Amino acid sequence: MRRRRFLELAGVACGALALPGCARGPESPPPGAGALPEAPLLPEELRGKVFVARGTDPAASLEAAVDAAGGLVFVPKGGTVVIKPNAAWARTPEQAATTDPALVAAMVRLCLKRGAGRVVVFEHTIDRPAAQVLAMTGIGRAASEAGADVIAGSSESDYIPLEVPRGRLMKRDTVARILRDADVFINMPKAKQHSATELTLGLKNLMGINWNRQAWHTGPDLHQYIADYATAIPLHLTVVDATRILLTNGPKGPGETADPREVIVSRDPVAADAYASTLFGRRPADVGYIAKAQELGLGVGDMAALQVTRV
Amino acid sequence: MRLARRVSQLFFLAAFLWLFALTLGSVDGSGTGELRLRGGVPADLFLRLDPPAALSSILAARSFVWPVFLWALPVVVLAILAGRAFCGWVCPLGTCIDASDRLLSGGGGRRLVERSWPRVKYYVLAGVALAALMGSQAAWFLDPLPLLFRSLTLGVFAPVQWAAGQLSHLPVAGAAAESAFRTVLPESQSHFRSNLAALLILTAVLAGGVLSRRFWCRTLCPLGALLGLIARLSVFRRHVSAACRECSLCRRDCRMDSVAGRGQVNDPSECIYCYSCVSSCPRDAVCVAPAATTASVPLDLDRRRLLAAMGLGGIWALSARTELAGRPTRDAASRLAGQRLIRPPGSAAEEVFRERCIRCGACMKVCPTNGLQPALLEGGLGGVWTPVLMPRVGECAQSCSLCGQVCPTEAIQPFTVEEKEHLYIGRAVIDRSVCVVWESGKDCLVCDEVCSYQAIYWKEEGGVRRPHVDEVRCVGCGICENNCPAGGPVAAIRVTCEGDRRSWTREEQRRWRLSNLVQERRSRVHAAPARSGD
Repeated sequence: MRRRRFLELAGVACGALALPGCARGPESPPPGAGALPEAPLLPEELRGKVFVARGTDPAASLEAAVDAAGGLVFVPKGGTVVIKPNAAWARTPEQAATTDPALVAAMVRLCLKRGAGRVVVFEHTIDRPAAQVLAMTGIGRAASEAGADVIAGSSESDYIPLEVPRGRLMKRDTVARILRDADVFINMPKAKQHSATELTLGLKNLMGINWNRQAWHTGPDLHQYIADYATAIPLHLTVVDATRILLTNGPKGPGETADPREVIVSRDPVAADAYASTLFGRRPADVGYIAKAQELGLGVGDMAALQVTRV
Repeated sequence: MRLARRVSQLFFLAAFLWLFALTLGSVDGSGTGELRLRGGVPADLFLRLDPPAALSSILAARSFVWPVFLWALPVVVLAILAGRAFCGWVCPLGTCIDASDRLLSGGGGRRLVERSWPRVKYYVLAGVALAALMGSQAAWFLDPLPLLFRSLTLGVFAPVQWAAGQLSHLPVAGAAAESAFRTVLPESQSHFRSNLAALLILTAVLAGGVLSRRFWCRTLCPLGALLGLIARLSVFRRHVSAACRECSLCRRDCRMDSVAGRGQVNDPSECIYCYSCVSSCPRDAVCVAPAATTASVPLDLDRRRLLAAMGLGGIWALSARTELAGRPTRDAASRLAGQRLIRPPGSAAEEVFRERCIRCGACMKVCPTNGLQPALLEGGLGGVWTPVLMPRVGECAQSCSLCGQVCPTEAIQPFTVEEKEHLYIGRAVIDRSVCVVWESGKDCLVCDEVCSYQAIYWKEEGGVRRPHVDEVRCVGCGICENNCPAGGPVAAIRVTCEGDRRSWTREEQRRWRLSNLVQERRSRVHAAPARSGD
């Protein structure tokens, strides 16, 4: 090979490396346009309605509760569903720090049965490596065997900027790139005691579809940030895993656990959290972000106004 | 035979690169989530085979490790049989040099090497040996196998990964490329300090081809020098039959310049059995046979230079041993000088660790969080390129034991995940002037959230839950520092080597933990839940 030919080839190769990056398009949305569709306000008829199923088989409980809640009517044929479980920690399912893999798998199957074209289980793990976390929690295997793509957002490039126009304190943050392609977003938190926020439930579980969750703690008010962020996320369903809950040493554990054997399903993210808080002998008012989310109109956080349906 | 040699070279280079690529954790498929070396192969095989690295590591650390010693023997045995055949047939750096020589010399070999230069490698070896005898390991800097592995880890691996990441954005071939790369690349982009420095050293070694072929191997390589010394006893030697007409073609083609005179004389300390002379001989007069009677070339070392080199080695050793960072910690009363000299779990006590470590970089390559970084000067000159944990970059992941599995010299001794709860590599301390809870009363406790060992507890003071560190549970893994939201590059909770107990045996550390553990220190037990299971 002649030197000139070599240099030409090298130049072309370097140029080629730059091209795919350009093909991704601009990182930031143009001003005024959100990267995600604007999160719709929750219709009045869905507010405050919580469906709780109890039993030893989480899959059966989930199906019963989802049916009672009206089914997955929001899943379009061939659409993409993103599920965000809590798979943050390298802990086993028995330790109750992460969402029950059987429940995640059951949700994936329900979505596929309903006609979803693609189901993605997404998590931004805190423990690393993510592959290990997904293996230890059992969620990686359970979800992919049920037919989902499992994505661990371990790089900053997996996230895109997000405008939070309805936030009181938070105006901008980031969100998983995959949500841009999603028609439906389902939040599947684990109900756990939490050192900083008392309890971690659905709204808190949204910390983990963004890139820099640590930064929220340095802000003026963590609870307000949690509530603010939820205003920008088009969320269709919350499924709180309370089959086994973590009572101490949360959120990572290991700690004491209890087995309420409940699966909580609601279209109203605030109501789901409000109900779940009672499993810990707490009132919704004890958890700062529940009240603040209600103030922002995200749902009903008042125990008295909740309509709990047991199935 | 020349073809066989080339095949062998390519095979071993490929094997080296393959093992390099496999120096990577993969999650056990059985569902336990255990992290293992990909492929289950001894990824540090080549590094273990390296006699000068092994011997100087053993000598300098004053601690004999049987496995390290035994692994180095095959190459010595090979040298007794066939001198520097390792250099010509196996050494991956030698193969890289052959390749770059081809590019640089444009075919015709240049010979800008004085007759005295090849002796320099013996001076290097003498300096390294004396330094090791005096208790400081200096082989790491020039030893070819650690040098190549380190340069690849620090200087090549991350750029390759980056380029692969760019390719994966390709709309068409992207997915295929990504899945191909995913098997040999970690899940997120690696970054290393001093990457260019490591790469420049490798480049300089390869650029020796401008002066002559195999410049590095002939003049500087300490491994080549050691094998060259053993080669003087070697069984197989180059033999020239009576058919030789002294045309000197073999001398022209000898890349090591080991053939002298008119082709009759061969220096066994230089010959790497490349078989170029055998193939270039028009009369088939050259062969390699056992105990052939070719006259031996005297080693002819310059005594003054030898002494000077040993003097340098001695000065290095004395300085390294008396450097503040190398101060012994065996009595546990003296502290490590560098507050941030956090070593991987399983590491030997500092003064042993730094002499055993051959700076190959395998631990940094395998670290799943990228937290193991090469030390610059924080461990003194004698600690350059040893692994340090930089928690702000990546923590020591709780369920990982990979660095102990790849360390070729047991500077990091193998350990289990269960043992990590009493392998004290440091301790977190909270800087209250930076902590957002202590300083401004915000809700945080991320350190407590992420702690794998439940070593953070909080006390409610003035309506604020303030974090404290439990010094018995904290082993210094640094996950708190990694996730601490405060302070930009400097976290409010930082691991220091205050709690480093590497100078204790593992059993001592285990007992200390058990006897000092306060069970009910934590103030967080909730009221019983309203409803529990049936």
